[in-house]
Amino acid sequence: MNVEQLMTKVVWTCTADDSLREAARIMWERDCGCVPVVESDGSGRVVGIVTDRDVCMAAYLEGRPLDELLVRDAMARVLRTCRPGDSLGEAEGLMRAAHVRRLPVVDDAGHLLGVLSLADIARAAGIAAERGVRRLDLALDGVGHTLSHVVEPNHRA
Amino acid sequence: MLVESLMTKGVWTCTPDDTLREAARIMWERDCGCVPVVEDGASSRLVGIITDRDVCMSSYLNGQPFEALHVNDAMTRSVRTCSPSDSVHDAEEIMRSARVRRLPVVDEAGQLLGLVSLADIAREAGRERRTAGAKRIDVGLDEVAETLCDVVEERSLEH
Repeated sequence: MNVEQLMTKVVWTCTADDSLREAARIMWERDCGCVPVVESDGSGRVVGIVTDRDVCMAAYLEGRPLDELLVRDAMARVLRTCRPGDSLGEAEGLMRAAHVRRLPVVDDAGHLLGVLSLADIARAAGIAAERGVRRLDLALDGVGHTLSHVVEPNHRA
Repeated sequence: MLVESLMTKGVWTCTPDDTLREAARIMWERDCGCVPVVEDGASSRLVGIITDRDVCMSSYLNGQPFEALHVNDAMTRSVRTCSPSDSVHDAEEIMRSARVRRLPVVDEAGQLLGLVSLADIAREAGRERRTAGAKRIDVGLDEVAETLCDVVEERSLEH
């Protein structure tokens, strides 16, 4: 099984020059927590990912309303991507090394095709386990292991 | 292993009358994604929980900046909780059925004692797998992963 079979094909994106209000609108209407950011020149090249937390923190730090701030000021620039033909093991290795839960999937020209999340891998591994299928690249304890590496302390005392 | 030995104690809280700016400040300064909401300064009775997403969506939906909105308008009131004497396994089951990654830990009077997260459980299970010796946690990494896929289902890009 490879990345292409598990990734979520991207339907919604925003550009770096959209307002944070626009990014929040997509997150609300599509009930999602992150939106891939592409170049505003129409090339579809992925440049970043913006999450609901990024929007919240940017608005707090700047002390300004969402419609006065741009996605480029809040997004995380994409440093690691994977390809549709990569194995799940390779993708998990990248997540582990980069301490991220989501990887943009791009073609050779850097165009965004989809997003692969650790949750996608976990779901597939859960289904494989239920069916009694044992696959080296889809072991639930491997996913748990990766999760234990990528989770950040999110309520430090 | 009991929730008591895994939970984070002394978590920061806010009250329903605080502004969203104050909630966001705590999230920024403490590097956390959610803040338990307690009755008022004197009582630590849990009345809700607020996340960075709640703050962001409330500001978007109301078209107002953070300082013009209150925690009361954005928080989730019906919060699933666990007790310090629950097993880690029980806490994980609650996360799975409630589809949440974090649970406030409360005493019998509903006073907030701490927070326990799926990440805490994953870290402990991972640590025990790497070290030889007696297992103190009754949850395996495979179960953590199963719970993860249950709680994150609704967060896909395609919805």
